[in-house]
Amino acid sequence: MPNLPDQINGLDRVIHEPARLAILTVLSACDEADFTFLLRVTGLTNGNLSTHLSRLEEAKLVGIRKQFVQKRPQTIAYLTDHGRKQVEEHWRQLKELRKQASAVQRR
Amino acid sequence: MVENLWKLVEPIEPDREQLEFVTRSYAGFQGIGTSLAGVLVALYGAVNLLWRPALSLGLLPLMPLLVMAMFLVPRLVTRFYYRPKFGYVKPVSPNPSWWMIWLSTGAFTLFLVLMFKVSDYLYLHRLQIPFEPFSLLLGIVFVSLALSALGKTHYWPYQSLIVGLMFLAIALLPVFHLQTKEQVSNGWFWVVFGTELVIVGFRSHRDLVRNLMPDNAQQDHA
Repeated sequence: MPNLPDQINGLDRVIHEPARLAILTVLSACDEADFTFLLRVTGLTNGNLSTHLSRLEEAKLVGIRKQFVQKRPQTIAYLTDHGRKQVEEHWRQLKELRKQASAVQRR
Repeated sequence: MVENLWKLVEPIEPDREQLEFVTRSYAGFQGIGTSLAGVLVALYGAVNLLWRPALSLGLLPLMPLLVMAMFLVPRLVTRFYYRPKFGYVKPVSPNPSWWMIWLSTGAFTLFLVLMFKVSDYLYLHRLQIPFEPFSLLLGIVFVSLALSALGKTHYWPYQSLIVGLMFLAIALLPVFHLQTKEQVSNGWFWVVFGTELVIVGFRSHRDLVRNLMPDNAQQDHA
């Protein structure tokens, strides 16, 4: 098993960024969500959210779909199968790291 | 050294539980529609109480419209208020909110059917009971639910207890000749039920507003 610093360094940097992890966590709790909800739940600005979504789409963690609802454009984001697995794995890694870090602190 | 490294990682973690909770509960948080439906229900009871001909004849023919309104109003509010203002979330399949809608509609219909059956039975057998049976039944259900969950950190058992006690109180009004059974079953029952829906709806909406960030769509242009 790799030691703690190695594990911390081994975290996926695309996912392990607070805003992106928040977006991925929200999307992991639903089938899909639109841009407005992601704005409201994460507290990001339009520009920041767009940039992070593009980055996540490039990494094939998130899929983006654009549609019109009542003549208004709507951007829908959803996790890809790969993204869903990666998010679960990332949270598992963080839990493991937390456990190890508290064990080190107790020593 | 390791602890310092971890301290760099840990503070940037978003609150997973909170984010998942808000997303999963989004449909349930959209309470304004429930409140509006509650106003209609309470109004139905109030009209029955205040307008004497309605009390004796009953506004029963309006009941299907009321049930339809209870189903449609929350959906319209979701479409024209929550979706543009707070956004859209498709829950994880299978959609639990649809199950909730069908379950609550079924429970409500079952309650209405039972109410008519018991009324017929009491009328046909000329049975006289001093209290209003449906309010008493609902009161017992709510109080039992509340007592089974008291002490937990949720607020719903306390709310359930208050509503249950209100139903018990109105059920006993005819015993003390303060109101007739007709006034309770056609009037007060719906007033209490509607008021409960209004309170539940507003609480849900308040929880949603507290859990979501203010609309910051203009920040980019600031």
